[in-house]
Amino acid sequence: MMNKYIKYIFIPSFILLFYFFFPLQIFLIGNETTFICIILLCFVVEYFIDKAKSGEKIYMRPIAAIKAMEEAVGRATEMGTPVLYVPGISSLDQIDTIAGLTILGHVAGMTAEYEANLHVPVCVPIVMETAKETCKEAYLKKGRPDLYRDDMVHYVTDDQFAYAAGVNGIMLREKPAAIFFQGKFYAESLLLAETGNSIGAIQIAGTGSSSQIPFFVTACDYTLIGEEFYAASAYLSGSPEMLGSIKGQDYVKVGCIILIITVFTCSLLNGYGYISFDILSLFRINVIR
Amino acid sequence: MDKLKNIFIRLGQLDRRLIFFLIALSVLVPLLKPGWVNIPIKTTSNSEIVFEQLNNLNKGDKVLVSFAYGASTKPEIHPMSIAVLQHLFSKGIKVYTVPLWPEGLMMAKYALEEVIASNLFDIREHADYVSLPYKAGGEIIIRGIATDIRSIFTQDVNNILLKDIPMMDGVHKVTDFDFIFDLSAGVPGNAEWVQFACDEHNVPLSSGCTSIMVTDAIPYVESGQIRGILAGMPGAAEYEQMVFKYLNDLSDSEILNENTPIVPGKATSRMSAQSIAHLLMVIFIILGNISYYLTQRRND
Amino acid sequence: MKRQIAYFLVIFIGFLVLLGHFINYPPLNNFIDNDATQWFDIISGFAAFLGVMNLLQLHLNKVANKRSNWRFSIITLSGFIVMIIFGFIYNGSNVVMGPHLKEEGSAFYWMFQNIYLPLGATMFALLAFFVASASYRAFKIRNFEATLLLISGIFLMIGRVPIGQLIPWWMALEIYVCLLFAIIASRFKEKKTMLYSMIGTMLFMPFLILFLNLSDLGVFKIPEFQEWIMAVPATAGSRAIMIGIALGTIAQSYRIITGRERSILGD
Repeated sequence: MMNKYIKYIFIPSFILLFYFFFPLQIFLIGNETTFICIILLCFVVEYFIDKAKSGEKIYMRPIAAIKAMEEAVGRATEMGTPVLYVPGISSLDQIDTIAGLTILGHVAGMTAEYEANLHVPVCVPIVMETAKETCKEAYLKKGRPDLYRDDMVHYVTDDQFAYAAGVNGIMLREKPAAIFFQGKFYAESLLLAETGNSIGAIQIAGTGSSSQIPFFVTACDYTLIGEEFYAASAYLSGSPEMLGSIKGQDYVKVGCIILIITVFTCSLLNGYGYISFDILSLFRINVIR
Repeated sequence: MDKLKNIFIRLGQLDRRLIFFLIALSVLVPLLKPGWVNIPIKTTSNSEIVFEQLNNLNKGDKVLVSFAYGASTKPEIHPMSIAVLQHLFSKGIKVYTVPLWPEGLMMAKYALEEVIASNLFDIREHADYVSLPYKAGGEIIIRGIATDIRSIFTQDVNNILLKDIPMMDGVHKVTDFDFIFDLSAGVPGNAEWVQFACDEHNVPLSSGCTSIMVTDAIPYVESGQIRGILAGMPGAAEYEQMVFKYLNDLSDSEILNENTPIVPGKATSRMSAQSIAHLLMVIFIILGNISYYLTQRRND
Repeated sequence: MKRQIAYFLVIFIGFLVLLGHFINYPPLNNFIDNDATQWFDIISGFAAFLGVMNLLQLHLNKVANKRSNWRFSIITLSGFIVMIIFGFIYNGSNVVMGPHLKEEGSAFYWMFQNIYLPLGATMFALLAFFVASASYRAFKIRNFEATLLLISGIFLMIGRVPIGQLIPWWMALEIYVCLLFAIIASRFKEKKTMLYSMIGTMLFMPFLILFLNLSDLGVFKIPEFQEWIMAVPATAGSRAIMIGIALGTIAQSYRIITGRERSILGD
C-alpha cells in the first residue's frame, strides 16, 4: 500500500514540483499545460494497469465492431474468399497507422487460425515492410508459418486517389467477403466503403479521422468511432495490462469532463458578475471582437 | 392507390447506375447551359469574416499563403486561392507563397500565373510576391517557419538566395508576417498552423479548405483561433462574389489596371450545378424514406 | 534477440522524443526537430525503393505467369516506365534535368498537366456519385440517430448551396411539419387520422407563425439554420470526438513507448 502511495502520489508530485520549481532553466517555457496533462494521464493509466495486473476484473462494454471481426473472418473462410485489410493511406508517423497495424496483427492471427486468405494493399512502402513483419509474426505465433505468403502485403501507390482506385479494383475483382478499413483515411474513405458495400462484403472500419467517421458509419456495417479504434488493439489482446490502460484513459476522460464543467460554471458566474476571477485568462484564446 | 404505393416503393429501390446517371445530368446541364439555372449567391458569416480580415490589412503588409492541396481538390480550392490572391494584390499586400504538399508547388505556380495572366495588376516576382520551394516535413516545416524561416528555406523556388531578395528583408519568423492564409485539403493544414505557429505566436490565421474538412476545422473557427473559414466551393463562390464586388467598387486605384475586365471566378458558375445536384440528392432521400415507410407498413 | 533490440529502440527513441519536447537542451531539441525527421525521411526514401521493387516484382510476376487479370499489370508497368523515362531520361524542355519537372515545355509537365491532374480531379469527383448513392441508401428514419443524421444531412445539403436561400420561411415550416409527422407516423393507428392531422397542421401553422410575428426567426431560414447546425451541435460533437481521439492517441502512444503494445512487432 505504501509503495502505491509512493509510486502514484509522491512520484508525480515530485516530478511536477521539480518541473516548476527547479532553479536552473532546464525545461522549455510554454509547455507547462502539456506537461501536467501528460504526467497525470501517464500515472493514472499506470495505476489502473497495476490494478489490472494484480487481478482486479475490469469490465469493458461490448463493442460490436470488435466482436464482429472474428465473425467477418469466419464469413470469408466459409465463402472461400479473401479478407481485405486496408491500413489507411498515411505513414508510420501517424498513430492511426500504428493502431491499424496492431489490429492487423490480431486479424492476421485470426486468418491464420481460420486458414483464410489475407490481402493487405498498402499506400506507403515503409508501412508495407512493417505490415509484412506483423503478418509474418502473427502467422508464426499461431503456428501456421506455411500459410504466410510474401505477396499477401503489397505496395499499390503513394497517391491517395490512385490508391483508392487500385483498392477498388481489387475489391471488384477478388470480391472479398470481409473488408477491414483500419487506419488514417481522408476523402477516399467513401469511395472505398461504397465499393465494398456494392460487392456485399461485411465491412468493419476504424479511424481517428473524425471527418471520415460519418462516411464509414453510413457505408460500413461496423465502425470504431474515435478512441474505440485506439482501444481496439487492447480489447483484442484481452491482456489485463491493456484493459487497465483503457480504464485509466476513461478516468482521465472523466477528469476532462469535470474540468469542462468547472470552466463552464466559472465563466458563467464570472459573466454574470458573481465572481471576479476570469478562468479564461488561464487559456490563450484569440477571439475576434 | 396500391399502384401509387408500388410506384413509390420502386422509386425507393432504384438501381445505383440510374442514380449516378441522374446526378451526372444534374451537374452537366447547369455547367453546359449556365443561363438555364442562375441562382444568386448570398454570403455567410464565416466567409464575410475572412473577407473583412483580409480587407483590414494595409498596403505593404506581409501575408504568407500556404498551398496545401493537390490535383484532386484543385476544383474546390483553386478558385478561392485565385480570389484571395486577387484580393491581396488589389490592396498592394506583399504575398509569400509556401507549398506544404509536393503538388502545392504547382498549385501555387498555376494560381500566380492565372492572376498575372488576368492583367488586373502589374505584379512582379520579388517585388510583389515571393514563392518559396517545397520542403518535405509537413508540421516540421510549419514549426520551422514559426521559429526561423531561414533555417528551412535558403532559396526561393527559382534558386535565388533569400538574402538577395529585398522582399525577404526583415522576414525571419512567423511573427514577421501580418497574416497567414492557409489553403488546405488535408494534413498538414489549418489545424497544424494553429497548433504549431499561429496560436502560439499570436499571428492571425484564416483558412480555405474542402467541405469535408470543415467539421474538423470548425472548433478552431468557433474559438477564434482561425478567423473565419471558406468552406469548399460554396465558400469559394461567396468569396469570389465579394472580391468581384470589391474590385468593381474600387475607384482611382493605382494598383488595378484600368480597362481590364473584371470577371467573376469559376466557383460562382459551378454553384448552380452544385445546387441542382444537392436538390436531387434530397429528392432521392425523400423518395427512399417514403419507400421505406410503405415497405414497413406492408410488412407489418 | 532481434525482437529485444526492436523493443529497446522503440522505448528509447519514444522517451527521447518525449523528453525533447520539454527539456531545454539545444542538441536534443535540434535532434528532435531536425535530425529525427530527416532520419525518418531517409528511411522512408529507402523504403520507397523497396515499394517500387515490390510493385515491379508483383506485376512482372503476374505478366510472366499470365495470372488472372495480367493485362492490367501491363498498363501499370507501362505507366510506371513512361513516367520514369520522362522523369529521369527524356527532358523535352530547355532546362536541365531536375528543374524540368516543373518547366512548362517538358514531357513530365505535360503528363502532369494533362493526365495526372484530370485523373485526380475525376477520382475526387466520383465522391459526388457515391455520396448520392450512400445517402439514398442510408438516410432512413429507422431510429433516433438515423433520423438525426437524415435531418442534419438534408438541412446541410440544402442550406450550403444558393438554392437554400430561395426557400421561403413558410416552406421551411412545412418541411419541419412533414419531418415531425414522418418521425411520429408509426404512432398513428389510422392512416387517415395521420393524413388529416398533417394537412391540418400544415394549413394552420403558417397562420399561427404570422400571427405571432415569428416568421423572421433564423430557424425558418434554412441557410441560417444550417450555420447554427455547423456552429453548435457539429462543433460540440467534433470537439468531443477530438478530445476522445487525443486521449486515445496518448494512451496508445504510452502503451507503445512503455513496450506494452507489442503486436506491431509481432508479439
